[in-house]
Amino acid sequence: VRTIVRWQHSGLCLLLLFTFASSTWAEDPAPIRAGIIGLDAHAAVWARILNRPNAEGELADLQVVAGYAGGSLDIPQSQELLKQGIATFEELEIPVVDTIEELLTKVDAVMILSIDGRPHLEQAKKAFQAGKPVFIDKPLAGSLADAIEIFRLAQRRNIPCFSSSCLRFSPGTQAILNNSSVGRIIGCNAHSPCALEPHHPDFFWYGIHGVETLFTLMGSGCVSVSRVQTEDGELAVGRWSDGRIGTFRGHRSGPHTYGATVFGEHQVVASGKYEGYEPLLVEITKFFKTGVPPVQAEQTLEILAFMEAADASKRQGGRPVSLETVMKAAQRRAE
Amino acid sequence: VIDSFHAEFNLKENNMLRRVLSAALMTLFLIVPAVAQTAEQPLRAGMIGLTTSHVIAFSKAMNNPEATGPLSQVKVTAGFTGGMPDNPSSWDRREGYTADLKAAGVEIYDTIEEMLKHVDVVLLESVDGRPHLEQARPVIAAGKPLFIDKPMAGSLADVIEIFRLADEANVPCFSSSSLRFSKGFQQMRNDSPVGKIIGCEAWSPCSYEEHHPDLFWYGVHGVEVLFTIMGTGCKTVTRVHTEGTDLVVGTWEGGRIGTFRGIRQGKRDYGALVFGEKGVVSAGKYDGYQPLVVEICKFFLSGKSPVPAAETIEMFAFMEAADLSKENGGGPVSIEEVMRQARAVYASKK
Repeated sequence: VRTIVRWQHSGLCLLLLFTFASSTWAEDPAPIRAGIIGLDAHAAVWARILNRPNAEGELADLQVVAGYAGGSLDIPQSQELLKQGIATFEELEIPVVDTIEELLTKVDAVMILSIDGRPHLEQAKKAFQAGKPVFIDKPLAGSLADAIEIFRLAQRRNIPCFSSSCLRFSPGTQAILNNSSVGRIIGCNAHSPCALEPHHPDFFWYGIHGVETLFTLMGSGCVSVSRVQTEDGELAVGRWSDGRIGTFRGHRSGPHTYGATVFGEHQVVASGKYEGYEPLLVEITKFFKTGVPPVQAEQTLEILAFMEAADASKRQGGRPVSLETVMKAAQRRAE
Repeated sequence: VIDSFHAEFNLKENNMLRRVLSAALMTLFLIVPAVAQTAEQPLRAGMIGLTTSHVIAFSKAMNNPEATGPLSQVKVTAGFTGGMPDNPSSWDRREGYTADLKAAGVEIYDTIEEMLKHVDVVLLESVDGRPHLEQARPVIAAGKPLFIDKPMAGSLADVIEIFRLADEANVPCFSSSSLRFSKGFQQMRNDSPVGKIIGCEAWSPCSYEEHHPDLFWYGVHGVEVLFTIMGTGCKTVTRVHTEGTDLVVGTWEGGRIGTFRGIRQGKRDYGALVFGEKGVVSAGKYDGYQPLVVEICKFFLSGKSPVPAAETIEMFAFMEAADLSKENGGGPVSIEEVMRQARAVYASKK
């Protein structure tokens, strides 16, 4: 973003570029300086990937330069991971600052990675006020209403913002889209682990990964959800407006696996594997460079509506619940 | 053979010797027939309902002179055409299939009763499930082992009644889709590579026939796969229905979840994804008719059903529950309740 801004607004820079265009400038621009808010989840692992001295391609263009610890006292996992996150930042010699405000003075772009979705709205507000583009890790927020508010605020200030699980960008999943041997995707059964966390709607905490896979493959347009829950698992069935059906299976026993069966026009194929964090980090870097989000806000909100509707269906004994109803109720709360 | 032996033996004068030898020989003949028949004389099979491509495929497999193993020990020798005038799938192809069987040397009879006089075992093949109960009655009454092709009947109540009649008469009887015996699905059932089965997502094409509950006509294939892998113990069923797809979710005892996806739009495929204690794997593919035909022949030779009746009954309860869930707008339906209502149908007619 720094480079873009410079090139766009400084004639001198343009002049420099054309006059002195050296291989150093063309191939090795200064990386974008990212600040991470919330060191209690992916921060440690992602900082290691992004700050590798030998990082290549897009990943060489994004550098983590500051962190803000954050953390949620009422989530034990947050407290455990926070220690590891802070230790890793110390090891990588990335400064951990005391306030988000201080962090914002040091960075070009912000990654909100707090494991807890609830503080995301307040954390994002500060980043938006500072005019920094923001990536928000899953779950986008602690509720659909908060998520609506986040996107509304970003839009009002014209700040680029997106959220996604890394599962969306698994090359094996992306390869199924627009694959002529599979044809149009008529249906999908996605699955992922689905641990629960008492302060979040059931699928927000972990099931989001499989739900993200489902929406990546099916696209937007889900109109209703019905859900079965047992101790060991979840099964949510979504009906799309054009009659296609997609399911999400969440498991709490058996192995920790991700996947999807894609029912195509011409072929039924396996997809949806977890293929690491890099594909998402590449997308985040491109997003910070261009300001163009790789996922539309409307689809992310639909994903959250799907997950809240699944909770509503559970409360109603498994009957189908309309996403529109859930969305409208959340919009009222957001206002 | 026994009669001619007796005729010859009666010429002998010694009554005592005759009685002793006769008793010994009778015992011998009572023990030996199965062996003698398998070695030299194959079982004569009759087919009821020459209204499905299965009659051609199955009889070709059994009547192939080069058939080996159990297939070589059962031959289709007789047929009864049948057919339902209000179901084009059943009515329009009957003459063609009958002519084909006739050309292959199969004797066609005008009534089931007449056919039964000439056969040892019966395959009830009628593509329409509704007449199965009435067609099964004389077969069971005649004591002939009976295989019933899918769907086993036109209703769960009929399925229960057929099994009740067979059980009462001690006549071996089973029904199955060919999908059950595909190698991969059997492996999941008998020796799963992923340990205990936690869940399963099965799928198959799912065209409807207006006189049958929605999943009976074709969805039964995928439901058969689901139950082959999950076994019995399904408690509740919910269903989402659209023009192109059905999605039925079953909750099993102990919290396991199994789903069936019925496909009417997109690739008409068969398969299952299995969630086990140790991994998630694809259960494999449809292997054609041959494995089922082998099981049918083994069943005729041994009298032992390869599928527990309780499992077949539960499959049909699952499919009827799916219709009820559709009617009630997609809410859960209890299998137990569906079973209770189906049991009452014939109980009240007695």
